[in-house]
Amino acid sequence: MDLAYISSFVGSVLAVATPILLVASLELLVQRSGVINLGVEGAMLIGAFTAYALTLYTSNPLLGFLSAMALGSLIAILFAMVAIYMRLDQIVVGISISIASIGITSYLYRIIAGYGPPPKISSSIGETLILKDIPIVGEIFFQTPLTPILLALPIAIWLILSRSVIGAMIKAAGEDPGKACRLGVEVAKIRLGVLALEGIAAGAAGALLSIGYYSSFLENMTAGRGYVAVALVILSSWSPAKLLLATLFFSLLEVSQLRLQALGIIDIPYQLTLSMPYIFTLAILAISSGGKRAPRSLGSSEYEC
Amino acid sequence: MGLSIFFLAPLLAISIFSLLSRIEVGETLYWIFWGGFSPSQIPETMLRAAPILITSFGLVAPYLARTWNIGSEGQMLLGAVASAWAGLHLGGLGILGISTSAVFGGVCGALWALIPAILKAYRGANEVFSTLMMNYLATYLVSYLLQGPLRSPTSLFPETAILSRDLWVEPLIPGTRLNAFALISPAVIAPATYILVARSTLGIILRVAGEGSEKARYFGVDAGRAMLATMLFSGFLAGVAGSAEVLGIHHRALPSISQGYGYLAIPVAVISTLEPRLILPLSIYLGGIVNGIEVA
Repeated sequence: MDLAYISSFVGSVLAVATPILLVASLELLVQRSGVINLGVEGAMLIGAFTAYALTLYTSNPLLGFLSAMALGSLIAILFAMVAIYMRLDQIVVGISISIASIGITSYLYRIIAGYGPPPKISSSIGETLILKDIPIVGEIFFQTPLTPILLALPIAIWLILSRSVIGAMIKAAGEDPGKACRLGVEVAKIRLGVLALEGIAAGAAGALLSIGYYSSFLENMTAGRGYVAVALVILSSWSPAKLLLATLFFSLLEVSQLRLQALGIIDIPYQLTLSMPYIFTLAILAISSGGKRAPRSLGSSEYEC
Repeated sequence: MGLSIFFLAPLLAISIFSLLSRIEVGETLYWIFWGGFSPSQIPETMLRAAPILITSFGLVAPYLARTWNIGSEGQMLLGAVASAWAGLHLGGLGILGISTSAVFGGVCGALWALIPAILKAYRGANEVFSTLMMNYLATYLVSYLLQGPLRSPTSLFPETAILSRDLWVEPLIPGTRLNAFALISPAVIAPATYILVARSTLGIILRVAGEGSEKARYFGVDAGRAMLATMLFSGFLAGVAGSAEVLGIHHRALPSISQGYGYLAIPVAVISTLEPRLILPLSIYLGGIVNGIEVA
């Protein structure tokens, strides 16, 4: 347990936490506005694929990253159109989007890659950054360029929610959309806005997975991380500070499990490793569903103005 | 409106995908329909319609009570593996072994559905979310079982050993693979769905339970118990559909035992709660498309 090992361990925990925290922070805003968006899983996956495909063909990771964000927000806007404006069940719409995304991305990926080994992309975002080479600090905080920004994200979310007019409008939309609407808050537009932001974040998080960490794409590579983000928001009872802790806890769990397995201390089937995010999500649902802290109109698009 | 979406959505998806792969759209559709609905292919189509039919009949009950179980896929997989496991220990028992194995598959499917049902009843966990998680978990659990403890030592693939011959549900019509499950289930389920949805007190009780627990209590219906019961019922039938695949077709459990039947049953069941007479044609339509894609 020397310093180098500890710093690489902490670095891995932060690297795992980064994409989840990115999505979960914005999901927290979305849920405070009264919407539960399970389509983030799909937006992440489509973001991961878009970034991979574009980087593969143009060898320009920045372009891939930006287009992943654009497509992610398009997916979120699609969700908003169906769930907010047409008022279909939010959970059903979100899950349909996520399941459809698995099929679509796997199919398109097969067109690109055939059945051979996945073509790797030559340049990833991580390599363009030199900060990683700074000893210890670099290894901990600059696994990805986004990590330091992200650790500040929950604070930003907290500031928005508790100190700004927009935050007040978001909370009003989540607690009593009918009343908020009568007082002149444009509930649907607020929800559409936070959802679009979340879509951008989800696309970026997906891109981080594919062109940031793996330099490649795998079928269903997000593997439930979007669902985990949604569940973490519920676990943290809609508080940004607790969300940061909960995300770090999940990442710690995942990284230590992988490390222990790599060291041969525990021997568990790989299927158990893969199903970890789903078990975690299910456990959170079991523990903290029906919490009294939940925004009162969470999950319901029905309100009268 | 809903019906036209149901019929057109698969066609649209196929057209888009064949456009993307630069294949003639009209030709693809022609071959899929030929593969699904030409007279020589009808038995195979019926064979694929049977699990959709059985599962969607199970789902009609929770859907009437507005409990949205989307976990049939996982319940079916678990049922298939459980029934194969039981079957491997029941060789030589003939018809008794077949029925025990099918019931055991059903029970395991029901137990898999019981977990989200309990989470909903006692913790208020959203069942759409939790049953979806259970689907993923079932996929991984089955993958583990078929590669580990249940794997046949002589097989190259992750699958169980083959069941003993007397546990095979043999084809009833020579030259086809049409077994008793595929022949009997339409005859039983089509009228049963109609009675359940349109002609029975049970159907009304379930609908009342779906109106929310307050209102249901006013009519003397325990909504929580109705939810638990319908979840168990749908899990049981999904499990039986899985074991029908094992006993009737593959005679062993393998990871690809369900061609997405559990998901396909969802739209069929949703429409059947509104118009129960459509359950058979819709199942056959989807079975035909699945078979057509396989053949084409």
